[in-house]
Amino acid sequence: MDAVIRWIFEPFQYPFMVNALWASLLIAGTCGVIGSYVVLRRLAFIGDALAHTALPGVVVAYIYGWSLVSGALAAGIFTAFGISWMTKKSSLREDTAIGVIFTAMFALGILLMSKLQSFRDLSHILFGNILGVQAQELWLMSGVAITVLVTLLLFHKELELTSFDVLHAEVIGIQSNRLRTMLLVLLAFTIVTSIQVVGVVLTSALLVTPAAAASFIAKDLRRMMVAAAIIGAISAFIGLLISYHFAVATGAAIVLTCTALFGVLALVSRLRKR
Amino acid sequence: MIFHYSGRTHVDSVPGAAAIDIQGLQVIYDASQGAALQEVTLHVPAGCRAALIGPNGAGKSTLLKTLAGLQPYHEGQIRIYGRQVRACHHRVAYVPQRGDIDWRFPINLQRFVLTGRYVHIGWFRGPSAADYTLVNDTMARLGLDAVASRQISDLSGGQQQRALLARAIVQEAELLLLDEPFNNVDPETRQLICTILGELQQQGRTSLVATHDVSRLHEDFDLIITLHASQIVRVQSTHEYQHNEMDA
Repeated sequence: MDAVIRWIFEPFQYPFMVNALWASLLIAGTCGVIGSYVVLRRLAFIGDALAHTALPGVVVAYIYGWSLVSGALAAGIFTAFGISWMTKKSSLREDTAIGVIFTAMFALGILLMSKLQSFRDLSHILFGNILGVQAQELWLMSGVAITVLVTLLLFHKELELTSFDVLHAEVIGIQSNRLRTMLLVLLAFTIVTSIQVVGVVLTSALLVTPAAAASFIAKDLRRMMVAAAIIGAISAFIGLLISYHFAVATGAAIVLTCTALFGVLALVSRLRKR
Repeated sequence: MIFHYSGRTHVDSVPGAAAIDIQGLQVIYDASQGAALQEVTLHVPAGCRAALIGPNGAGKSTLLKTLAGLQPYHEGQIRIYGRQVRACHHRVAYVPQRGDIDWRFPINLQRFVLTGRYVHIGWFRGPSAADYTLVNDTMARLGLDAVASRQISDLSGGQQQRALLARAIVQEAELLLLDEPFNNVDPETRQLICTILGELQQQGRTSLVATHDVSRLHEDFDLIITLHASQIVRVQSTHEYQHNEMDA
């Protein structure tokens, strides 16, 4: 028993592990909540696009010595509005247009990166750098988490309604397009901070997997959000422990823990239905 | 303090105005495909139950969507109780075809019906006890009280259609626009919908119902409007309609 307790608590005698724990709990929790909309409104591809387009923003910010987070945020918000605009104007199908633009943005980011001397410095953008989170960044993450969660709470009933019945929402005067743009901007905020934890490549897993797992057990949106946040937080905690004890990449460990929980809940829900 | 959607509060209707008054309406979706509605002129008095019939693609849904403010129009004039389209979001309830809603969304029936009250509640507020009472009473009236806590995905087609009607009723609108409410529903539900429309008429409310189902139109409606190829070809009272049917 003592050994188990030691196994669990030993890593957190180091300040960088404590920071990492807080950061991953915050991000995984927030991702779970907003991820419920990503799953129910089928925004997974857009989420992936927002994460990938952050890369050129980060690289440009790095080149000019600006804050990397602000670079990512600028790129993310630009993309969020761009997607909204394209949906309205373009004759292309939305997923095609996004596919074209976001791969181009990502390629641009890679291109810029390859011109830099220190390619390795930015590799943590791709795969996350949770163990290097500073106290100052924790404050920023908390700010983002609070902003996202409070906004989702304030607009909960309208966001919920526009997720399953746009027509009724429009008839009673709710502009569903504006709500959708707002949701995409919140998504961009969330994604930019989660890039710190799991990196560009794995961010959409934190958005989709906990919420998808929660959908097996939750009967309404609120419960789904709470369940997804808890599943995300548990995955973050276990993932960190695994990463510490077995010396493997933290982001990947968190995502795979999450996938394992998804598998368990899928199995449970299937057995229950029998 | 209520923060109304689009910043619009309830606007009184013009006294004595018709429920629907359309002059020379033209609606075009796509210039290459011609008009979806053209030269539509229609007068539906307040407190009338009107049926909108015609073949697929005649423009029934387009007309309902235009009246609901979902579809912009290019020419002509529409007055609803004497006011412009979308002048008052409280006044018009729109019941879409069942397929327009994502029934797999995780929400129970009671909360689904409650969304009909949102126009009165506005931003940043939750429903009151009175809202819940109205929702529960309406569900009971429509025989839905036993399934109030059930997921909307687990309802039968008839129950889903009654849920949509319940939502329109709790909105307390004066004009109800129903798109194919009789499609794939059991005979009891069809009868119940017609009974409810009759009760709403007693309260002075108006309904416009697009339907394929032309059986018993004369029993359940006062006005029969026939659309064909984007135009209104006939507007008949039930009496005239019955007469013409017999001749045919």
